[in-house]
Amino acid sequence: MNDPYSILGVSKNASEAEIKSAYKKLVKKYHPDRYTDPDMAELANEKMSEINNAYDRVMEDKRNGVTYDDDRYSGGYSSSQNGGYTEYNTYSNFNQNTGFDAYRIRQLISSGDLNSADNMLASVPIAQRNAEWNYLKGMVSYQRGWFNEAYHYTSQASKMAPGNAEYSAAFQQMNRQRSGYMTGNAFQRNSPAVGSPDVCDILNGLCIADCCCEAMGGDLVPCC
Amino acid sequence: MFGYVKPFKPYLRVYEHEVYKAAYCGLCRELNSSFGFVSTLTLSYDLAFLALCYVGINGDRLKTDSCRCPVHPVKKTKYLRCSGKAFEYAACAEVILVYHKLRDDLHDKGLKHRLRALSLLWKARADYKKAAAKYPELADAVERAMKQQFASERSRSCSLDRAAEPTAAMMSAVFRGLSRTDPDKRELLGRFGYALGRFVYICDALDDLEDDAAAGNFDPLIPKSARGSKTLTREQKEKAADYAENSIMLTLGALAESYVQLDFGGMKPIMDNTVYLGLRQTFYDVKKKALSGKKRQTKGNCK
Repeated sequence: MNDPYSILGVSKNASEAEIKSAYKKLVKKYHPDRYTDPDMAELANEKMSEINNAYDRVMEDKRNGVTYDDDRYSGGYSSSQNGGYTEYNTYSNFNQNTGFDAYRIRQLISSGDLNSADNMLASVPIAQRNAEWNYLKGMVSYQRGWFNEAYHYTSQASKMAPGNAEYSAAFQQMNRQRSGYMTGNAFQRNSPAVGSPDVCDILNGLCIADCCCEAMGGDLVPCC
Repeated sequence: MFGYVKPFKPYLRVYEHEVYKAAYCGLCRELNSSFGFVSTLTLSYDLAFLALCYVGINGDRLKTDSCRCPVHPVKKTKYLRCSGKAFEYAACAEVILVYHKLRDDLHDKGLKHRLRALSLLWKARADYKKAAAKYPELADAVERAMKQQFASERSRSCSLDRAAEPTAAMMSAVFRGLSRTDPDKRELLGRFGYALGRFVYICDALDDLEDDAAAGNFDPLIPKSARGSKTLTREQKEKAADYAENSIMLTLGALAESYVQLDFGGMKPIMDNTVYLGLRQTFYDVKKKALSGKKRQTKGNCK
């Protein structure tokens, strides 16, 4: 098995963004539509699956920690990960009161580096795990697809900080999903506007009724 | 796969139903021609869903043809042909998944399953090699997921989230493979597949609840108080079913989030039916069966 990092042409401690852009560049380069010659297209196709495979493996690593024990690069990998991880204490956003750097963790989550984010969260002592810690932990779990854990942590977060709009919005969203809501579901009539009249409908109705009455010589709404 | 992903028939339009059936037949023909008759016996409607997803994502054109097949010798049946590689991909995915399922059975099922697995494995391995040569990245990803599964089964006690991870990762890889050249679509499809795999895992765990309890197998839905006992009381079963339902609803909600970002083109109505109605209906069927203790019928004819 080849080293996925060398296939993508990035170093082992490259950031998410670097890996993603390298991957996208390679995909563009070997896009089978670019080659008209069938032999070349075949070759590009093979290259394509190699790149996809390498990228998937790198992303799985980022997600789960190291999942496979290939001697050739497992050593370098783990050391690089520890390096990147201890380094975060030097960031300016590090908050002495809470003991963790929420901004950095948010960045990691949005870039998809869930394992590093989770490691940073796990290193926070239990006494210092506040509402934000629970919320971030919930977000990491949600991104992983561990929805039960995500629900648990998000509910903790909104319990610990009831006034926080962000946490309660996330918790409400999960609660809606839990009670069976699915985005874009045309079979489910759960929007309140459908079926029951809103203010606009009522005013329109009054207007028309007034017009009808006036046509018959009476008046329903005296002012117009 | 396990026959859990299918449309909700009463809401399916007549032509949609025909397309679905024809896709199944097209896939069966593809399997027959590239892997031989034995492999068609393992076919389930889930894979027809996968083939239709492929068609929708890649915007392939479909053509209907009719032929006679040995299962229905009297009537000519309609089947689909596709301008792209939808059926080839679905057939290879089927073969790869079946091979790993058999290998899994060989490890942790009863004697009956083991003998069946042993008798089919030689054929499945030959097919697998052929399919893996065509889609090496899929075979690789599924292999990794299986390794994870062996590890998590050995640990025996873990949360539902962790237990579902290997199946979900496997389905994530299968759906990622629908698009080869679009990184953004691949990521979305991966998330869609992950949630779908999680759904399949939870349904399967609830379906096997009693068998697993009786055989002493690990099942994340069995309440902690009941671990180790052979039979489950009514309350314990209800507790397990409620836990499963909450997890399923969360999963389906997240599934819809990634589903609405994907463009399934002309296949959207069928996909909508399956995603919004079919999955939920399947789960309710499984739940009903788990609580009443009767076997669900549909599982048998799909797998």
